[in-house]
Amino acid sequence: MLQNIHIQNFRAFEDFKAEGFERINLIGGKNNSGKSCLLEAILVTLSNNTLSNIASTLRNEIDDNILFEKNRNPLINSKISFSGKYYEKIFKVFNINEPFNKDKSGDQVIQPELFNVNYINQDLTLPVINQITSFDTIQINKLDKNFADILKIVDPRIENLRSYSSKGNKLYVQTNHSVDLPISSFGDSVKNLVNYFIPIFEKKALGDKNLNILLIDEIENGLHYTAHYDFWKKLFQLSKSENVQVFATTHSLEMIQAFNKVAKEEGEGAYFEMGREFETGKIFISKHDTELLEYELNNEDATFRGE
Amino acid sequence: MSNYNSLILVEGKNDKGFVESLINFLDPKLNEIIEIKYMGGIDSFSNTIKSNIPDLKSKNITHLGIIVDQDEFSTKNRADFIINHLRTFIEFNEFDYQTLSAECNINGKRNLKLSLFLMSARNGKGELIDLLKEIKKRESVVSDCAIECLTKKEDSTSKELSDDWLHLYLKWDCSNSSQRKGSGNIGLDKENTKNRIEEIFDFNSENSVLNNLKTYLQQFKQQK
Repeated sequence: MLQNIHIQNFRAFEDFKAEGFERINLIGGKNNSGKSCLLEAILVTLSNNTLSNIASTLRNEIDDNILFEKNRNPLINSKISFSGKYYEKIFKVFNINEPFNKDKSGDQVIQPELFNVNYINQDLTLPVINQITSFDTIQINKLDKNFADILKIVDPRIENLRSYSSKGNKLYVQTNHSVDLPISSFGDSVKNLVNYFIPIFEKKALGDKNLNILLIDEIENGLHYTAHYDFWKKLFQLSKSENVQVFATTHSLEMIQAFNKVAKEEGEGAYFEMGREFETGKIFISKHDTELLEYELNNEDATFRGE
Repeated sequence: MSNYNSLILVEGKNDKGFVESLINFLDPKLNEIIEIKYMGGIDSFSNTIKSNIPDLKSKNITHLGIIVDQDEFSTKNRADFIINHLRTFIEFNEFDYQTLSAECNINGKRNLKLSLFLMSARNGKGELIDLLKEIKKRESVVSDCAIECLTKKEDSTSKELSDDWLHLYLKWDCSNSSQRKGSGNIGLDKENTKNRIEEIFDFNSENSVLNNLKTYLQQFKQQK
């Protein structure tokens, strides 16, 4: 799992360190405190995407904006562990069109095939997932009912999912309704749950035990607060059993409350809050373990207010 | 955005209400620059500090005040408890046991003053309630009588009894039936009580602990 990260000259980060990541990491903080930038830094460090690809795909921006200071190289140093071994890597980049791990120094070399990274926000997923192909893999291994159980969190009428070869690249939802409806006719909650959980279930179906890092921006999107607890419960349990590490950002206090409840029960979760130093505007992050978060959620005067 | 340049941490909601009211009595403008937060008991001191580190970094706070009960401890003991917890999260050099204060640095740029005030109205020991009993304006007939009775209960603790005394005093000795109405509106942090706090306690009293507390709070005025 990714343990620590030290980011220099990338996006909003001039020089930023975060330590002590757990299996499930929920990241909060005010607007423009660098939450999404942190996800992008992890994405660019651990995936084969180039800086320029990230800039254009995620934010439709020109390359220059991805650096904090244009004339300096970005430097991201991350500590990551696989099966009990630690690898400390320095990733350097001299050309923003090169993938980060093309040019590296340090003793250990991380094999990119040892892990996958999935990035998901409201508008896109990276890499782009063919839901039909992924679902076929899930279905052929008889995990489709389990997958549908996830969707029942937001709509108990959902019985299963399936695809139709003549109906194009779309999943259909089976309910007690007389016809199956395309997933696009359901709301954002169903769409988002499919995006979040399809990589996990495909991994499970393939028996893939390697680490999968799941980066989710604004994870609460579309989810009613009554679904938050069950959502986290499933995400915690599956992440642990399938070796997935999650980094998710949020602006929802209710989402943080439900997260803390599940993290207390399941373990391996931590909340991180990002902010900016008064004098310099420099971004910092602070880790709030479940005990501290519990205290803060129960004390109306605590600094913590969600956002 | 807030204009707070000082943060004062107190133990409980009653402490918060009392200190806010006293500040308001001294100079209402002080309330605009001092933020007061309650910890939920001294046992939560460590969590409180941890929780406030992001605020200390991201807001222009130049004075961190801590007001806690002396209880049965010596000043040195109480101060050391506070200092040891603070040192885990904030670096500072010397703590002056005479003035109960220290200087430290935030973000490598801003000077932050740390200061401690111990509530000790009972011969150098004690807590907020001891001070309140000294400066009460009303006769505490009902509350004293009830506490006398509750004291006979073998498993009652002195902490419970002092909390109860304040509640009973506010509710039965200082409120009429309409002021008692509504659940959970009795307490020094409640508007219902704050609005008439000077009918309940004598802020002009010459009590030495009250005077020391006033002097302590006045120093927050001198901050820019």
